[in-house]
Amino acid sequence: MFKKFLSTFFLFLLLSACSHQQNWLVRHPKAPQSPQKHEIGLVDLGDRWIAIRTSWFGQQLKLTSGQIHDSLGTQLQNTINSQLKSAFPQHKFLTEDIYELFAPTESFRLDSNIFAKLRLPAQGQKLDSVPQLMFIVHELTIGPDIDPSFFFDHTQGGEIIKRKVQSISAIALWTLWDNHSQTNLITGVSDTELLYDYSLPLKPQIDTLLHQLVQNMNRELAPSGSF
Amino acid sequence: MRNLSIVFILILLAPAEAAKVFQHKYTLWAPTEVLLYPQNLEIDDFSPGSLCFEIASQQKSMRGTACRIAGALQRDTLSATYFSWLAQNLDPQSTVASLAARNPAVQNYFNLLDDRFLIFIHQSQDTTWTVLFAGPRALIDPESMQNSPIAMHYKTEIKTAAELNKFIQQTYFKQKTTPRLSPQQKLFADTAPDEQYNISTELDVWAALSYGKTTAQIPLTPDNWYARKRASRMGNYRVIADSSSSWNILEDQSDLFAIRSGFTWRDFVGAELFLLYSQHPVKLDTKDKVYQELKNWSFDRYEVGITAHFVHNRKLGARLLWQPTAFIGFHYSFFHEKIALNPGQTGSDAYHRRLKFMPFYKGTIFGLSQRLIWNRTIAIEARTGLNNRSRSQTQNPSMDEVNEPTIIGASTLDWFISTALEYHWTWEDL
Repeated sequence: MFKKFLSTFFLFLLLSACSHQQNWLVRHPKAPQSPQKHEIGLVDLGDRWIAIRTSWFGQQLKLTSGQIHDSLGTQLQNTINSQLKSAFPQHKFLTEDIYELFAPTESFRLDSNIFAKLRLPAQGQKLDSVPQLMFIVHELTIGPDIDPSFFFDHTQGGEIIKRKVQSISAIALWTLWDNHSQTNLITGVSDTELLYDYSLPLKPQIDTLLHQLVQNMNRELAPSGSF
Repeated sequence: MRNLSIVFILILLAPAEAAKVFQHKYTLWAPTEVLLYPQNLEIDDFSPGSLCFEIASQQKSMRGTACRIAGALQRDTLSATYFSWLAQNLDPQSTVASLAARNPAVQNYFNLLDDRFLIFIHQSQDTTWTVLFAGPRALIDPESMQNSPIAMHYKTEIKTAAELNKFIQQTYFKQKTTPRLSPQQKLFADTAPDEQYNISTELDVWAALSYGKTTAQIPLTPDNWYARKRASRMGNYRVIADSSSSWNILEDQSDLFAIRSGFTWRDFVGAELFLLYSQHPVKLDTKDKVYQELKNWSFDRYEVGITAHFVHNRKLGARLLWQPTAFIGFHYSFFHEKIALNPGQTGSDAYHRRLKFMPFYKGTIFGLSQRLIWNRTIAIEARTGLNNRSRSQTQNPSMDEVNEPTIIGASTLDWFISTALEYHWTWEDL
């Protein structure tokens, strides 16, 4: 009994020594504990979404390749925007035009290996008619059997394995921005996974997936669970 | 006493608070150039010259340091925007990453600092903030520190230029200095290969003398795994409950001596020959009267073998090299018997039919070691590992053979730890 425990313990030590703890969230010490209670500017998702293996989506939704972009895009935009609106009761919805006031694309370091490309407002330039807090989803990725480290960790990589789809995943890169001090309060990568049920239509499953994703974001925004 | 209490009350009334927000390591080139970016500074008599005088007067190697106002940065709209943003975000909770300049033009300015320093000085109410930026050549970890301030401090109650100068000198220019590189030396440093690639030698040969301890118990394993072996005693010269491990028969804890010699090729892989020696008295059942004739009985264990090893190199100083190593190998193990009877005794029957070990055993050894080599000549080494020996099987057992009797000492495992003095001879190229 003791030997068994000990060998398990050693195995655990070995594995924990080998694995690198990835950091998917950068939090400024001044970030509010529950931003959901404040007024928040929500930026429209717009075209900042990516679907991996669109042919599979087309197959499931019975759409031609030309129709996928419009159909899937509209669904993703509408669902994520409405989910975010309900997650932040005191929101001010901002159209994608606000992106024109942002600084050019830059690389953001989340961890020693994890880098993300994103666009944020410039330092020293306060945006007019935007509340103090602003929530930006920089990128929404949806696809079957995908993992965030595949997209953001430069030590990982390779090809997306095209096997029979087991689950659908959604990954979002987001930022909570302080417009008054022009600082990045929280930047994180949230992801969620849903076992794909072939007997049900895909559309409601995508909605459930995005609902889970927004819940995850909410949880990461308010670590104390007070939202 | 009254004076003291007045002083104490004064201290309580006007606490001059100085605190560090963050400070990371940097190379202080001497003499250096210091650019100053004062903003909202209400000390009239502050001048770059007076700061440089303070810096130079406190440290001899800093003589010749030049200080000036960073006029180009103050005139540039983009950097002026960054610094006014920085002034807004001066906060005791700030982190390095949160204060990084994001504008490429400002980042470019910071890269152009090269081996120079930039100090941003800001006063708000009675607090004076100082933020230090270092050029890429002064950064120890350019990867994560680039475009960011490297140190940030604040202090209240700075009223005169002398106080400010002293504060800046004490916080940023007190550390050990490195002579500043000439343009040619900089060019050489930029084009020189990485030092980690530079330290390899073609061949490194050594001889070592080692002393250590060996014991049956492996660290972090419970005592009860060994209790039965350790309690075991041998009666009548050969009566033993279990003879598969030598530690049922012999004392397992012993000093371990070794002579080793080996080589490493290109600081990466190598081989080593070794001879291990340890002494193990037989654990006799003292209740057995047959041993009254016996003076002593012990076995000297000799192990001769070879290991292969893989080395990692890390330079700790100009002359100091650290080599963590992993090794694995095999050996032949011999037990050399030392037995003596009391004077006048000829030995009982049991004595003449006493237990014998096999002529030799084959064993494996593996472990980890690390050595500190000074000047590529003298080294101290410490190693730990596991060492086992099993029976010397010279042929495959045939199909119709009966179960073999247990071979004495055929599964003996021990843990060892040792330290060694080594002398190295190196060849840069052969």
